[in-house]
Amino acid sequence: MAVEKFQQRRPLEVKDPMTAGEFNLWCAIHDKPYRMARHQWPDGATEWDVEFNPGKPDGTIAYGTGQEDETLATLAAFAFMAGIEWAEDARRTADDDDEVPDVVATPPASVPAPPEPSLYARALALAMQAGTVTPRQIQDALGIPQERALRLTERMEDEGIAGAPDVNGVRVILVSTARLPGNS
Amino acid sequence: MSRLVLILRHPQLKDLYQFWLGLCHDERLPMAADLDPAHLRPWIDNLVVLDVSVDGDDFIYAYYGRSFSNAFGADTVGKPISNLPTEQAATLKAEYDRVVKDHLPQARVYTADFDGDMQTWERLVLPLFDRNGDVEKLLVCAFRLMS
Repeated sequence: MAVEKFQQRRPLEVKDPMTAGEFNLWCAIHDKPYRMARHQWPDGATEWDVEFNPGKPDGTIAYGTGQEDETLATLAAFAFMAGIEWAEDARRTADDDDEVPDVVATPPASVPAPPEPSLYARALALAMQAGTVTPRQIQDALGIPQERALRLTERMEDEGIAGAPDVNGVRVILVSTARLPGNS
Repeated sequence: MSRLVLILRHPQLKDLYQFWLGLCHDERLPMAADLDPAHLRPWIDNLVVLDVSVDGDDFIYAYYGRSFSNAFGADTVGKPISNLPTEQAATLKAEYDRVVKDHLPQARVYTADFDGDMQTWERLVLPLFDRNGDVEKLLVCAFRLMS
């Protein structure tokens, strides 16, 4: 055992590309049962995959990034997680929001089709991309009444995703999305 | 939270401890949700994250830094510390139980024989809390002392 042979990361390297370790640490911190792992094919080629429930009896590969490069694979893995979170949120929203039409049909167990995003999930995606949110922004983008858009932004604040409105009604998104592709 | 201060030797553990203390400002409890992996880059390869089991009686590896997995050839993620050899599991459990119970970091220096090579390491265990004020995760960091 010789841990000292590994180059230790220093604060000066903060601008390094993202690594699988960073993805894995993000998952561990946020209770996401996923992990990136490098697998080797019989022909010797390698690829980074995203494992589900790593180390558990039901562990499996959830997503093959198709990438050998760790940085590109990490970006793909974060994009995969963004999709997972979107789908999870859409399910939650459909369950607890009686104003949203039942667009999330329960798929047959053998067909893991992602659900169509609800109004709230779509509003969240818009807000996270913009970094700020206002009822007007949501109203225009989704074509919904102002009162409905206001409630969606208030819900973001209640859930700790957005801050309180400033004097212009603008709420800052508090959840870090800098790690997600498209939001860098 | 107590204001006891840990005396650490390894500079990177000192930095991590200061980082954790920074999360405690205004009497706040450091929460797992507050952490951004980008802020943990200086230590990421030497970190371990453990989940406190639902019954509080075991600890499950959620993240195992690359330095350790490369060095030990071990894949511990998803497995509880109770799967470790009995003596090692008992030592770790006692240490982690103390952190969970006291809500305070722990540090220790130990020397062990690693494949015939006597090495001295220093490790730091930091509690991370949930919204109820209970310890839900442990952030462990270890570095070899070269002196």
